[in-house]
Amino acid sequence: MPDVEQLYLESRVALTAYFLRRHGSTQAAEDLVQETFLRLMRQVDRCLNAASPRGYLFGIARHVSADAWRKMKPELVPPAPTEPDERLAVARETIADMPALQREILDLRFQHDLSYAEIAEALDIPVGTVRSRMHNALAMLRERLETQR
Amino acid sequence: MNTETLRALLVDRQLGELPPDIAELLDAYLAAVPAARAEAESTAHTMSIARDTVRRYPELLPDAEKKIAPVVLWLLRAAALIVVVAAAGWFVHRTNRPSLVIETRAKSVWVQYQVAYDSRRGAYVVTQRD
Repeated sequence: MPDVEQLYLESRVALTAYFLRRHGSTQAAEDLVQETFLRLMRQVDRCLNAASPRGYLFGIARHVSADAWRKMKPELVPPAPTEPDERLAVARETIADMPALQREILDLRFQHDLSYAEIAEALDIPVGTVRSRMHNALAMLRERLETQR
Repeated sequence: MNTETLRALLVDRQLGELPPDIAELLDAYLAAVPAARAEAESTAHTMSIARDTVRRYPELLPDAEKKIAPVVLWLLRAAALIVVVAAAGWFVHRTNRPSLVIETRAKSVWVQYQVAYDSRRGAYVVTQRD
């Protein structure tokens, strides 16, 4: 199936990064990418007919990640030591207070560069919800940053 | 254009989600209105911080470990529903329970009487059969 092959070639690196960020180990990330594509093969028609196959693939990856979390406690890669930045500290605190769905939308967008449509497909929610949550998150962040000045 | 609309358009444009014709109109608007340009810079700044923060702190990701599996969630919901229905059924049964009728023996003197319990009044009622 050339379409699946193409999807694999286009998404393998992004998916590895996605799992690496969540599970910390390269080996685990590669295994989870394989698991994602194995699951994809069981529902290949649905994926290729989805509004956004890449988003659909990330939706599968999300479930694979959640299953892996349940089986083992992952070791998150500790953040690299950096100079303290007050703005980032404020932003971190603000984002940490946001609902899980909103944080996941921010992650899929800013870390994995998924479009609104792809995020909607991955999280199985309407595109309008993705857009409004994104706008709302940035408005909250902006307000907190302006207050901090 | 009000500030809220402008900010929404700016966010969508920054994220590459704005159709080209709308983006073009927005650019023309930004070129003509200095205050809107300042707004655009502020939006870009906020998004840059959001991006840096998300990338730098993976622990901000929703903790999958704490998520309840959907199947478990549905089982919990089903169990809660069963409990509620059972409690409601018991309550309805208790309040609307038909009066207890004691059938007396055919040959007894009591055959002409019927004894019933009135749950509303909380007392037995003896009535004579026709």
